[in-house]
Amino acid sequence: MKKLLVIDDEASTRDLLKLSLERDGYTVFTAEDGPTGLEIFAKEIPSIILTDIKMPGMDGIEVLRRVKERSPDVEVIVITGHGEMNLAIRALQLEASDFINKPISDDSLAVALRRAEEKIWLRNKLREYTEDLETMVKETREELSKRHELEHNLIHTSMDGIIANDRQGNIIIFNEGAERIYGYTREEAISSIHVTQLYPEGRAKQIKQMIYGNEHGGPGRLINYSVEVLTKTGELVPILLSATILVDKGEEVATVGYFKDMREIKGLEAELLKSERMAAVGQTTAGIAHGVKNILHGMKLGAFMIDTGFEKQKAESLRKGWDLVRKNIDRISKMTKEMLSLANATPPAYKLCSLNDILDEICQLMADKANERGISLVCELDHSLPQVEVDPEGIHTCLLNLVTNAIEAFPQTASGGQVIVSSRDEAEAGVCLQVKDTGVGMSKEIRDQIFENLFSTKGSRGTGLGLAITQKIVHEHGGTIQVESQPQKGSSFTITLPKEGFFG
Amino acid sequence: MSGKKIVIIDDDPEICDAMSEILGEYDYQVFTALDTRSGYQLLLEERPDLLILDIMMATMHEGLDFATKIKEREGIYGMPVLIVSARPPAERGYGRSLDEDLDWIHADIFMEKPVEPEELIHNVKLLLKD
Repeated sequence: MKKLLVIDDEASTRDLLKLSLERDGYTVFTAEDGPTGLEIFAKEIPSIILTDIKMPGMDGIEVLRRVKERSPDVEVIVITGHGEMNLAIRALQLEASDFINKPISDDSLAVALRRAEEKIWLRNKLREYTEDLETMVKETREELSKRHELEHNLIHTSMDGIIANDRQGNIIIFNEGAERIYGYTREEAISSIHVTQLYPEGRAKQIKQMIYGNEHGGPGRLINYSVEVLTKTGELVPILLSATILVDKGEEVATVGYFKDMREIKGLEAELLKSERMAAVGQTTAGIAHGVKNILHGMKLGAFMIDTGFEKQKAESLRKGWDLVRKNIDRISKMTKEMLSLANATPPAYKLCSLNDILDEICQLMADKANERGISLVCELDHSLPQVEVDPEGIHTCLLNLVTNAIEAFPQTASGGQVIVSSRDEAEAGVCLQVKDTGVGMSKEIRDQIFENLFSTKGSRGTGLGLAITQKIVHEHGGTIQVESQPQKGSSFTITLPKEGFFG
Repeated sequence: MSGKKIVIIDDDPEICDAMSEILGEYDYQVFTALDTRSGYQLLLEERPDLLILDIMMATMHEGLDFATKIKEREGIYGMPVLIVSARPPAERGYGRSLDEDLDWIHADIFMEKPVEPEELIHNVKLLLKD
């Protein structure tokens, strides 16, 4: 219930007002003079005060002034007598909410009270709004500053370098990552470095063109582009650069670059390559040792047989022993040659030639060996085959290896097998050379390993280098080699070479 | 001398010939096979007193599995098995001592290539108790 204070020196007016106002629902306090009124005011803090103007001692104007001084929100209605318009005006100047004339009519009192109530209500509302607004502003500001801080942290603590420059090329953002890459401090970069100084001469311009261009992630974007940047000390650092143009209201305002330092990755890559190479060397060495052991084994047995031959005067032992030694001498020289070929000791010499001629030559060369084993060697050549630019020696080696393998793909004792050597024009795809046998075939496990160095299924008879060399030569020609095989059914190897030649 | 039977399984026909020749000098009857399948057949037919098995690089496991199978069938006091191999060092068990490897390589004697023929003959005699 609202509290209301009535100050009037006339008891009848006080009683009358108290009665009437209590009926309206107010809690009414009364005082017969100014000082008492102020005392009650201080204690009860009523929201509305009705005070007579003319009172002995402290008058209504003074009461108004003191109340307003203490609590400007309290509504004070002054009661004026006839002809006291000056005082009424003075009261209004002192922020009285209204004045009513004596004798007090119910109507004028009601109007004045309503106005006072309205003012209180409005003021409260306004205060609420103001408070809400202030809270909102405060919250928004906090939110903004939090977000700003977050963004700032995101940019500055990013492991990658982040650098932004304005349209003139002045650095505007230079984070910790950028400091680590470049060696400039943020202050140095922002105050005295132009974006072009971050790259080797002329590179910044090219990069800018790439960002605008279409090829590297669309216009206004550059994605994962490998580049070297120039540090404070003049060192070149490998970077994976992504960049984007920042646009504000349709206008380009800045370019942001994200710099991933590739030094560590490159270092790791180099280390990995080195360890892979070491492992390959180890494996190769072990493989060679294995091959040599097998050959030595044959030689020792051969030498022993020769010794026995001499001791016991047996020509047969002598002959067999010597045969074994000589065969193993051939093996080790073949192995040496193949290893050199794999190591690229003789560079390939490319020239235009007929692949059919090479196939023909191979078939003639291998005819005896095939015959010996009861295998028919068939040559099916496509005579429309165009001449192709190849290294004839290399291709000869490849086909010799494939045909040798094909002939050896039959059990020693078996006969009736077939090896088909063919050529075919495959139009766009190039020219195909195929060696197909109906021999023992291979399991998937073996097929997966056949192109590896020193892998062999021929025990001591194979060097394990033939297919590795074949694949290497084919690849050098820009061609492919494919294998199909089924255990007990046979295998086929297909070499496809580009018609144009790898180099033209 | 005994005329005892030896079966040699080795995928290299020349090595087979040489071994037959050398061991034949000591009056052993030597039979050879170029793969484990025909080798097994030979074992069943000839019931030899010793098996000499070459373990090749490409079919290393096949050779070892074969040896295991034979030893399991024969039992520890059955037909002795002598394995000859070039021992690729990356294989399982290799790189440790031969004594330890013999726990899982089912051979009575394991010889590394190149084998000294005198040593081979010595080991053959040892296994055949000649």
